[in-house]
Amino acid sequence: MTAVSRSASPKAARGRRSYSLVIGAGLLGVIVVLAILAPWITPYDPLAHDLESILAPLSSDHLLGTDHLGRDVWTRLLYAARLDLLIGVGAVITPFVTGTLLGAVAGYYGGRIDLAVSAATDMLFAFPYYVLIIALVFSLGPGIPSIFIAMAVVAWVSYARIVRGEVLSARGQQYVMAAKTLGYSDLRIIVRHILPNVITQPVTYAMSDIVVIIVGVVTLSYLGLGVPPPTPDWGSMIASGQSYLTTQWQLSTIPGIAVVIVGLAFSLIGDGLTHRLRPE
Amino acid sequence: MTGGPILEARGLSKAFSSRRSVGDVILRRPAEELQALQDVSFLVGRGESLGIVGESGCGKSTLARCLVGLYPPTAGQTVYEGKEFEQKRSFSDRKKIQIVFQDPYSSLNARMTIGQALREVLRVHKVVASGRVSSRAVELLALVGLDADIANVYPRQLSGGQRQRVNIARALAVEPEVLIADEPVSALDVSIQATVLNLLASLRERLGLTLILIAHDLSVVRYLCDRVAVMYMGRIVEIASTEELFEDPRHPYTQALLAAAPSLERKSRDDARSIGGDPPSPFDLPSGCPFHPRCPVASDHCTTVRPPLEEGPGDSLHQAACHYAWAPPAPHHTPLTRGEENLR
Amino acid sequence: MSAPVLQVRDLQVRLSSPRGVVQAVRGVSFDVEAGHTHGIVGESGSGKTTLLRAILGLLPGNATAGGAISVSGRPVPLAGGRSKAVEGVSIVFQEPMTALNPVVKVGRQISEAPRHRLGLGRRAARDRALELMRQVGIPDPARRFDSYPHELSGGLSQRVLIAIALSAEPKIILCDEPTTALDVTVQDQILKLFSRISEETGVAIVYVTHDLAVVAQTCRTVSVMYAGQFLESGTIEAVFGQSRHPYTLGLLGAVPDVSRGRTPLVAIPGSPPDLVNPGEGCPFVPRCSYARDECSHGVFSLRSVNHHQSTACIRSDALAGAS
Repeated sequence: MTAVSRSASPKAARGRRSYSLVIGAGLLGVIVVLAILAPWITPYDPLAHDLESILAPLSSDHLLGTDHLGRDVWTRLLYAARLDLLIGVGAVITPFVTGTLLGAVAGYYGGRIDLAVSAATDMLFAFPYYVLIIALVFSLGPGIPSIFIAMAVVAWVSYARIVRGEVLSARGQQYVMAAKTLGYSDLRIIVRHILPNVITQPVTYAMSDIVVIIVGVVTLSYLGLGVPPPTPDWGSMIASGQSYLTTQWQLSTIPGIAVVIVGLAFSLIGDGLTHRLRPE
Repeated sequence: MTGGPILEARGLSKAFSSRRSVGDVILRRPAEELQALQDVSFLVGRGESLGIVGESGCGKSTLARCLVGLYPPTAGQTVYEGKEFEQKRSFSDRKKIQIVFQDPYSSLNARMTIGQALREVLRVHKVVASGRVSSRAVELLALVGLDADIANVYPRQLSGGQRQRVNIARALAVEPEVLIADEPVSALDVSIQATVLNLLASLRERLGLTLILIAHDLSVVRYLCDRVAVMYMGRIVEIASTEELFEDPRHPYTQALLAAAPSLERKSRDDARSIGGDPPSPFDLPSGCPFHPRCPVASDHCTTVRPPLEEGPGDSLHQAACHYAWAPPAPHHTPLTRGEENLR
Repeated sequence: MSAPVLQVRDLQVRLSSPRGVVQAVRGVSFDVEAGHTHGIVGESGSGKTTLLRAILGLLPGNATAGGAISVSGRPVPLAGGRSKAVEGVSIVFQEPMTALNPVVKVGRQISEAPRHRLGLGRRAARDRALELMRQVGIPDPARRFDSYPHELSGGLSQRVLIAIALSAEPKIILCDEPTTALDVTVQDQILKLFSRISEETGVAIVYVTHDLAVVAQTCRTVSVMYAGQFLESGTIEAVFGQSRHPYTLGLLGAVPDVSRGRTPLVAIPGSPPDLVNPGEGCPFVPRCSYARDECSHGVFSLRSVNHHQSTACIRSDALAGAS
């Protein structure tokens, strides 16, 4: 009767799933390490113009060639990774925290709090996401702080919605009722009992959200609203390389590929986490 | 009743109203009301075990949740040792009545080990000094017949029977005097059910617990309870000692339940007492006696006047809510005619 | 004695899983005659659902099967594929609400098989459906014909499922816990309906459940399944009255019964074996109080002990007076 039966089958399924986690994390790890080590592994200054070697092709001097101002593309690519990853992860943290808390409170208490939170999410959802971000950044003035503020204002709604729904269904679960009958405080029930069981959803969503934000920042920079030049950023790199696409394809294509690889890495991590974090 | 009364339900009612949509508000459609529990009263003696049986939707789980304070009743009170609980139950009052739920799989937090779950209760309620928390958790596991090493595992690593024991241990951690078990074995395999039922019986004896057992299964109630209340459509229709109720049921619904319950030992069935049809919708209760559309002895009187829960002659502990419970229908009694299909 | 409609011979089903090969069914044989109701009692994980799927010809893709199943003399293909034999088998599931298509009117769901499998015209199929609905006790069939499943109660939905099961004129109806989700009074009605149907139409019923009392009430014969094997088979009176297997005895002593008062219940210690590597010998040995050394070796299969019953227990003589 007291033997502990360890069910092995879900573990095996997890094992298969964690390949995507391992590959995704590996991919991201390589990019992060390269970005951190950028000052040491690249011989050039990302901002330094070198008018003698403008639009140089791929060579041993310039691994990925140079752009129209003679700046080393490989160097700029790595410095851009530093910035874009930082913005992507940083801009998700505030909406993740506020959205999760508001969603949990709305779902748990219901009533007026829920009505207010739901009305706000519904209203923000009615706007097209990118248009809203672009409008906000535009009115706040281009630059990184504007991106963070715009994200904080807009992106929490998705987290609030996801968490609210999850908490609403968890509230009827017997483990929550058991916690209530044991006299636990609401704070304890939400933080210790409900959130650990529902956090998987917003966490995996955050993984894809990071990708969306990076793409968003790249798009904003491409439109001239994001990271102001000359700071290296994949979006402005794509934009400035555009004019030379027929002769120097790598100028726009390589930062584009970087965006795709980062997106793939986060998606794989998200996919792997879904299965890793699921309680049963 | 074994000791004096410990717990009393006094006219407990609970209504749920459906959510109105924006359209409903504009069209001034009122919210639909579901009367889950209507004017339920009973006494439970200290150390007694009371069974509450009925089919799905009869209000038995709502009753359990009102008693432990999960739902505030729409009317009526829960009285504990002669004192009413406040609407918002105090921290110390919450400990007195604990509940074990039906589904052992969803009633434990999947993210906590068994030991964490037990230690949490002990800490929150300061049941023992902080240095004694871990050893008390082990004692609780032993109380329900589980080894100490169970404390280190997560719920998913346990069988249904083991989890239900953990649930019982956790409910007992706050040292309640009344334990409500809401369908404690219906989600378990047949060979496991006995272990949990026997555990409840022995805990009751060892700890002097008062037990309220909610079940749809008459056999479980018969095995564990001193007294049984039968519910139908939110009301108690009959309440009596277990022996009385099973040997001499007075309400036609109780008779039908007993006739319908499959048994290993009774091959021939009492077809005269079995009933047709389905329970009515709780949103649209029949007038008069709620059981009359399915009742084999109902008369016109039953369609208009709801029978109160009344004591039988000479037996104050046996009550039934039927006009004909204690006096058989008069010779000129004309049973209700209804569609033939109902009787198939 | 008429020829059996359903014959299962030494059925073996192995399911490959990440943990290894699960031996879900291990050498099951039984017959069911027309008009008979045979019960199969087992706990979760005993292999009863896999057994049903094999009879339906619907084993999952990860299954390999041995042995033979035939319906009215025609073999059921164990490796999948269509066969006339399978058309003689219908099934009624536990959850009536999820077994019905929620967006199709129940009348159309019932008339589907008469139209497409029996080739009746639209009108004739509708008439047939109405007749089936009347037969299973659905009040006011003409009105209910146009209902959607969500408009029906649990009891009525189960009647609709039974009508669908009957609509293809099956030789056998398999019932997988058909009343577990229903209330006691409604369960009683459905059980009576099954009895009436098998009497009226001569269809054979295989009734699978964990509930001993339901089997006792509905079936004429019963097999007790454990760890993929039949441990005991026979008439209800013999198996439940004078059981010759310790597992059956254990189950009988472990479940409360309405007709019994407070006869103490005795739980069966331990838990069922892992079917990935079940080992040889009787699968019940670790939980059995009658076990001897010889019980742990060799193959255990049913052998008759008298005219009415057979058991897999080699110590059945020791049990003769036990129940």
